[in-house]
Amino acid sequence: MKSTGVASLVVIGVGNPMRRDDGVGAAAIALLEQAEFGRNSDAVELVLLDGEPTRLIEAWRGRRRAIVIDATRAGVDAGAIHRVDVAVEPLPDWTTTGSSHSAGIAEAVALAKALDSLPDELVVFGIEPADLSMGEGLSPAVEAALPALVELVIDEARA
Amino acid sequence: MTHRATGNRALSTGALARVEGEGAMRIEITDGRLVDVKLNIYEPPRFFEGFLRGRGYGEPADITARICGICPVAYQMSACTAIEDALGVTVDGQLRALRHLLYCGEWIESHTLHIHFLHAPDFLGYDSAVEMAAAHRGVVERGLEVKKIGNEILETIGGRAIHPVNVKVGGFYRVPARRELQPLRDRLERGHALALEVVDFVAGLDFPDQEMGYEFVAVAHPNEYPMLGNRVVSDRGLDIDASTFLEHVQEDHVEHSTALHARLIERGEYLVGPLARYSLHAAKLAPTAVAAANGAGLGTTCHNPFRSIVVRAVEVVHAFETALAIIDGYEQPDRPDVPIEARRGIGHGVTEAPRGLLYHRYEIDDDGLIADAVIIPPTSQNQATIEHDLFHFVERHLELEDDELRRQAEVTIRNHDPCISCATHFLDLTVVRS
Repeated sequence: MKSTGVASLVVIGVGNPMRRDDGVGAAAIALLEQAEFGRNSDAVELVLLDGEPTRLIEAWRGRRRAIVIDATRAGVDAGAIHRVDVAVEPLPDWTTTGSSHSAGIAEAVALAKALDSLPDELVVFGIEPADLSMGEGLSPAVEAALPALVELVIDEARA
Repeated sequence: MTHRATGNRALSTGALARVEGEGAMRIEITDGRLVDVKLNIYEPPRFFEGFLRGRGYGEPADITARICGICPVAYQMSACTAIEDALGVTVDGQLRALRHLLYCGEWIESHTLHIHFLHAPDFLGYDSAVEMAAAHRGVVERGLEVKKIGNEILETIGGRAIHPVNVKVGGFYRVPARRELQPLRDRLERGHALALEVVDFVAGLDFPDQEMGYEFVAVAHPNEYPMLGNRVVSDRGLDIDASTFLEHVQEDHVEHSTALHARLIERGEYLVGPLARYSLHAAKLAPTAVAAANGAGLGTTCHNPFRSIVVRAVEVVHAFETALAIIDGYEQPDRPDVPIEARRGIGHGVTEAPRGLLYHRYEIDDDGLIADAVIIPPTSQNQATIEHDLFHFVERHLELEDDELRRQAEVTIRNHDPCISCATHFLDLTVVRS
C-alpha cells in the first residue's frame, strides 16, 4: 500500500465536539495522537469526520481496513462500548436510529456496498452517549470509558 | 402503510436521513380541510450566539465553523466579514480572491451532495441514494468525484477537509505559493467538465409545474455572482447595505418552533438560496454557467422550487469556472493577513452560503471581546416560505395516504436544502386528521 501513498488502515473518529458526547470520536483520535499511535507509520492514518456518508466513503475507499469510532445510542448504560464487524454481521438497529451520526455510518456502509467501496475489514466502535446537547466536553460516563475505548481500538488495529 | 382515518391520529417518522439537521413537521387536517402546517427546525446558531459572548474577536471564525459540517466556510466568511467591519479592516485583493476560491469549494461540495445524494433520488423515484446507486451507479460515482474535487479546494486553501483551520480575521494563517495551486487547477478542469455533464443530467429530469410567488433576497456585488458582498437586494425593490439588515428583517418567535422565523418588515416572507441568487443575478454567472443554464432551459429567473436542482448544478459550473479564473490570476500576497488592532465596534457581514444568505452581526468591546452576537442562517429565513410551500402542496393533495403525503412533503422541504445543524438527521412528521 505504501507505493500508492494510501495507508492500509484508517482510523476515523466521527462526530461534532460541539455536541458534547458526540465528540467522543474526536476525543479518541486526540488520545491516539497523544499516544503517538501510528506515528512514523505509513500504514496507519487517523482522520476526523463529521459523519457525512460520502466523506466516510472517501476516507475508507481504497484502504484494506477501517476502524470507525462514533457515539451511538443503543439504549444501554452511558459509556458502554459496542463493537460491530461490518464484514461478518449486519449493522444493528442502533446504527440507524437515535444517534446523531450513526445514520451516517449505516448509510455510508449501504452506499459503499452498492459502489463496491467497502474496505476488506470495517469495524465500528459505538459508545453510548449520555448527553448530545449543544456544548463542549464529554459527560463523566463517556469520559471514563475513553481509555478503555482507546485500548480496544489499538488492540483492534494490531489484530 | 397507514391509511386515512376519521379520528385523531398522529404519525411519526423514524430517522429521515436525507434532510440535513433535525426538524419536525406537523400537518393538521380537519373535516377533510387543511387547517395548519407547522415546521419546527432546531437551530444551533441560537446556542452559538450565547456561546460566543465574552470570547476574543478572533474566535468566532473557528467556533461558528462548527455549526455546520456542510457549510463551515459560509460561517467563517460571514463571521470574518462582520468582525472586520467592526474593526474597520478591509480584506481585498488576493486575500479576498483566496476566500472566494475557498467558498467555491464549499459550494461545489454542498451542492453536489444535495444534487446527488438528497435531491436526485426524489426525481428518479428512489427512497435513497443507496437505492439509486444500484441503478445509476455512474451518476452517483460522478457525483462523488465532483464533490471530492470541491473538497480538495477546502484541503488546499482551508488546510483541512472539514472545519477549515486556515481562516482568520484579516485573512489566513498561511497563503499558498502560486505553484502549489497548479495540481488543484488540473483537478478543477476535470471537475468543470464533469459539472457540465451533471447539468445535462439534471436538466433531463421531470419537474412538476409549480411556479411560486416568492420574494427573492440575495447578497449583491457590482460585478460578481454573489458569494461575498455587502449589499442585500430583492426582486421587489429591496436594496440595502448589510449594516441595515436588521432594520429590514425581523425575527419572530413562533409558538410551535424553537427557531425564529425571519420576515421582511412590512413585506412578509421571502426566499434566499439558489433560486433567489439565480433570479437576481443570472447575468453575472461565469460564461460556461450561462451557457449551461441556457442549455438546460432555465429562463432568466426560476420560480419553480423543484428546478432548484438545475440551478444548483449551474452554480457548480460557475464555482468551477470562478475557481479556475482565481487560480489563473493568483499572485501570492506579501503577507497572509491584514494587520488588526482590537477596538470597540459593531460590524455586519453577509455572504452567500450554498443554501442562501447568512447574516452575522458582532459587537466588540474595548478589550476585543465579543459583547453580542447575532447569527441569522438561511434556513431561519426560509422557514416561513417552506411552510407556505408545504401548505400549498398539502392543500392540493389531501387525497394522498399518509405515507405518500409524508414522502412528498419531505420532497417539498428538500427542494430548499434546509441544512440545519448537520449534526443530526431527523425529521419527525405528525399528521393529525380529525
